Amino acid sequence: MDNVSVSKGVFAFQGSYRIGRGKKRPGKAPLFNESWYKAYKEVWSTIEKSTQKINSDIFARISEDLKSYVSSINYDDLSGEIPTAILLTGVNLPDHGALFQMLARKFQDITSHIAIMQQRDSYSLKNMMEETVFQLINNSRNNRTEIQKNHCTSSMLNAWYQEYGSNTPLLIIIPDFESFSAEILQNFILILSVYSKTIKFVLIFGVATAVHAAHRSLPHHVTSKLRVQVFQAPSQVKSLSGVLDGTVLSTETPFKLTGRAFQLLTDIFLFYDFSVNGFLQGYKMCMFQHFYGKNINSLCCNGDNIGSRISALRSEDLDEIKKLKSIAEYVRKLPVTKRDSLNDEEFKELLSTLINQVHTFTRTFQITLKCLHHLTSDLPNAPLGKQLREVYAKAVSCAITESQEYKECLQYLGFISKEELLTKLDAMKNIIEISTEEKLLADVKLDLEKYREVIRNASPEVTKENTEVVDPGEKLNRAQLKEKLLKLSKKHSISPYKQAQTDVINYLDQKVFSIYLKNPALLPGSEIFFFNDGNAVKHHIVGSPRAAIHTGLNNPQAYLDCSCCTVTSQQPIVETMPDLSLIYKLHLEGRRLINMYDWLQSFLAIVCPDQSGEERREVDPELQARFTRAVAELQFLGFIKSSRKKTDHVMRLTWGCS
Amino acid sequence: MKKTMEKCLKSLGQKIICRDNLIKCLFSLIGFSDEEMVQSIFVYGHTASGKSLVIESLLAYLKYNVCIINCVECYSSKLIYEHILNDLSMHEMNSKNNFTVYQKCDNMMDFITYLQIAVQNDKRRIVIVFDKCDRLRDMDVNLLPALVRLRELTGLDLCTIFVSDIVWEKYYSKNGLLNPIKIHFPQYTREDMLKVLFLYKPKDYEDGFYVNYLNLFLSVFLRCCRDCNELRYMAKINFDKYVEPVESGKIDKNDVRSLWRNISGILKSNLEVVYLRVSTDDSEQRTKLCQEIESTTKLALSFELPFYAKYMLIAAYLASYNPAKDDKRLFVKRSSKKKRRNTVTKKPAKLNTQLGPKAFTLDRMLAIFYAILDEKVGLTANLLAQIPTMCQLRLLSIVGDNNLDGPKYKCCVSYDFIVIISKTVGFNVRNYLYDFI
Repeated sequence: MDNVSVSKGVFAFQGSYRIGRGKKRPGKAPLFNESWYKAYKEVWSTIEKSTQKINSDIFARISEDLKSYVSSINYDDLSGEIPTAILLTGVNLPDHGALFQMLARKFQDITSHIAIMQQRDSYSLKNMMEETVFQLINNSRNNRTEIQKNHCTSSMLNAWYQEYGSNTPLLIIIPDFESFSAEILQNFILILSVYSKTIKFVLIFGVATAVHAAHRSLPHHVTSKLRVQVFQAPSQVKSLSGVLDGTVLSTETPFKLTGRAFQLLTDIFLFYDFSVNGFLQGYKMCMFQHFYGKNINSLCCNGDNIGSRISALRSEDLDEIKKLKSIAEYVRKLPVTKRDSLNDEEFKELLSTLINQVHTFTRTFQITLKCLHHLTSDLPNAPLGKQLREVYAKAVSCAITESQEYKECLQYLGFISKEELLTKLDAMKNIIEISTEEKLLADVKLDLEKYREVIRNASPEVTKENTEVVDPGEKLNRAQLKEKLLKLSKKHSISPYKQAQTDVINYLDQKVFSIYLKNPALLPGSEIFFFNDGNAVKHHIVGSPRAAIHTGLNNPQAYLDCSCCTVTSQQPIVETMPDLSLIYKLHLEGRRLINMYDWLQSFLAIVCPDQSGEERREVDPELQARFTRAVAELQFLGFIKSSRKKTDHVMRLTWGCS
Repeated sequence: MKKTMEKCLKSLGQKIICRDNLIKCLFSLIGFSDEEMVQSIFVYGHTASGKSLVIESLLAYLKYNVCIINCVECYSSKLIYEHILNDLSMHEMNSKNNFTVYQKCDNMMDFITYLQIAVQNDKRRIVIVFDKCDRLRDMDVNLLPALVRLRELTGLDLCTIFVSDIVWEKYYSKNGLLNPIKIHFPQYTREDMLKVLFLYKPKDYEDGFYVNYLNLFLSVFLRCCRDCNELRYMAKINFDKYVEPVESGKIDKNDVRSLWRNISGILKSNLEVVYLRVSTDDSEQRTKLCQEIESTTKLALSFELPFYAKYMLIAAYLASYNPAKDDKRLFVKRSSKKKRRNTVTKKPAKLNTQLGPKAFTLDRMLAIFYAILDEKVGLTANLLAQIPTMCQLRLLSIVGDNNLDGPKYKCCVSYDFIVIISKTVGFNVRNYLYDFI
């Protein structure tokens, strides 16, 4: 026995399986060759390109400003202050990451030593200091030194800077100032200021709220160590308008968001998160919905290659198209002889003309819409909305020229002064000129010019016509006088300007807006280009956790897709449902406090209903275990919690859904 | 003996003024080469009263082996030890030694041993200065008591000097510690300050002219700020404005009265931005900025919050400043108009809105949110995500340790602020505040 040692243990056995190796790389999925996918890809790439361009345009100014600020700092007369740029970014936090990454890229040619600090790296002063120094040293292009992170201290940075720094500024970016602990930041700044005589630091703070936040969290003796310059990033609403102009409202993209879907996305933006990035993802989601699996929507492209796309369609696709509501309507209205002889070839021809019609219409629609927006946006109260997106939302969901607001606008237009009207007309002319589709609206432009001339020459004075005045010498009886006065008042003269103004408004109303601003959804073939199914998208992008849990528990079939658990109003509880679901349903029947024993009894009554309805003292341990586990799960989901008021009772926490 | 001190005074006097007595005092404690230095000195006084300047210049003059430590920078005792060893052993961190320190060291015992080894070939006296030494209190318990009697522990010819803004009484701890010799640096008097600021006179102006300016300047600024650095900075930026009419020839430079009339407005408006160091080139922008900082209206309007977030904030404010028992009366529409009993309930002497915010549960806030919002919105993830966002923006704050079961919050915005926010969404917050009903 003396030489024997017994050891027990668990030893790792190296099997053949390796994480990540077993996965097969999926080959190119068949859908990459589908025509709808190609169409989607093409449209999305144009949108992506244009949004990137817009973003860089929007932030171009601010990044230029910052860059010139950083490169023009004069370190000589700072006397221990750290130059600091406070960038007011607005509250939408989701987009900020991208902004600061872009700024860091832009600064690369001024200095290669840039540290972007995240809140997660800065839970203590030690961490923050080490992380900053580590990033500053290791971000440089020529990585000559290998230094461990826990060796990074400020004195080390000083020594390193004397050797390698070559006098370039060290840039420290703190993207979300508010989330940093004020105390750590104070000490951090104090440390930097100790070395500011030997090292050139530049701080950039991204402040989401107001400059106030910086002064609130830092005491006097710390703020006096900073020399602050404030920069203002463009507001989120503005950048959304920019993005909308480039995507939804541009003539370049064939895919159009209308009606409910458009409303939904803008609402999410304005009411919930102010995130442009979120908006774009939602937009992409809409495109998924629109294109996925629908070959006919591959026709949604720009005009040039419509011919080839149509010829690529199979006959079942054509049938599908014929079923589209607007097309079916159109075909039904064709003369009978033509309708009967409509074979595939002819239909393709017809389709191509229809689609071209839609193209032309949408272009003129966009331009006219811009004109209308320009005309009405600065009217008192702006009945049609101040932003182009509001006018757009209105125009694509109903016939805008019929609406009350539109009529109100026309009324207001009747009161504006000559100068205002002239500038508005000029602006409209300009909009038509700079758009690429000038020739489509050439006659409108000509007409506008004509009206403009007339108005310019028209004088606002009422020309005194030598109308007969009531001659006091004339003998008139009462009736005659009355008649004459009535006649005079009817002849109430209008000034030529007023006349011209009415003319131009009537012209715009009847000849321009009523023609070009029809609801585009009524056009035959519009389904291919317009997407308005807000509900389908809402289902995907607006999460409603409570509702989802409720459906999951109330009607598990919705998620399980099984054939057994069909719920009807007569029989809301089926024994094949998962235990959790049963328990949930039973708890809905309970009141504020639920007796565990009763609960168990009713559970048993459902799970094994064969026995008579008597109370069961002896419970099968397996059933009891199932019950206990389900209750624990329900508690984990937050529907009940244990109560100290009554023994063997639990408290219900949710109300209102049953 | 006197002579060495006189010589030192003369040499330092070129740079430092108004501090002769203190220099003498310090010199007599550590300066005489034939006397032993004192073990430790505690120097205290207000910010920018010349403490560091005097000590640093004196030590530089005496040519001792000196280590000056900023205790904010060395946030742990390990860093302090290593920093002292580095400095006293004249060790340099560079790429040859891969920026490593002289000797790794993380406790007092090792530190004493290493210190003895490090300076054994160096016969100079050693002085270690701890700037902002109030931070030492938060580190290891034994650190400060040991540093005070470091000479006794190491047996070296060594003196520790502690520099701080606060008095020594604040350093007492349970374990007790040796009292060092205390030296107080008083604040500069007005005359002293004038002399100090006069040192930074721009070159091209006469002495009298600048003294006049400083007199005017101090009459405004000395009332609210005694920080020499800040005054120096403000004097510099305001002087440009002061001489502007003289440069352009509008006002004669001896016409003190018109100059005063010209500058007084600017001085007063700049009084608002003291310490803020916001560098804008023209004063117009500066005044705009300080208005923005001053007024809640501007602040509230500069907040760009999504629509529901605004309502959520209002709900949080109401939850924070209304007593929970009155929620039913305030928010339930067509509530049974319970006749109040004849005994008029006395309102508390202090209004809720004047006391601080009270904590509320998430459920209560959501209930109020739905009560004040006219439209029906689902309780979606987007909506709930607003709450942490607002916490991050410091509009709300979490109370207690993030209890998942029933999180509690407080609303951190003021009444004026919420009034403006609610105005932008067309909601009258007064109608729902208990104080105003």
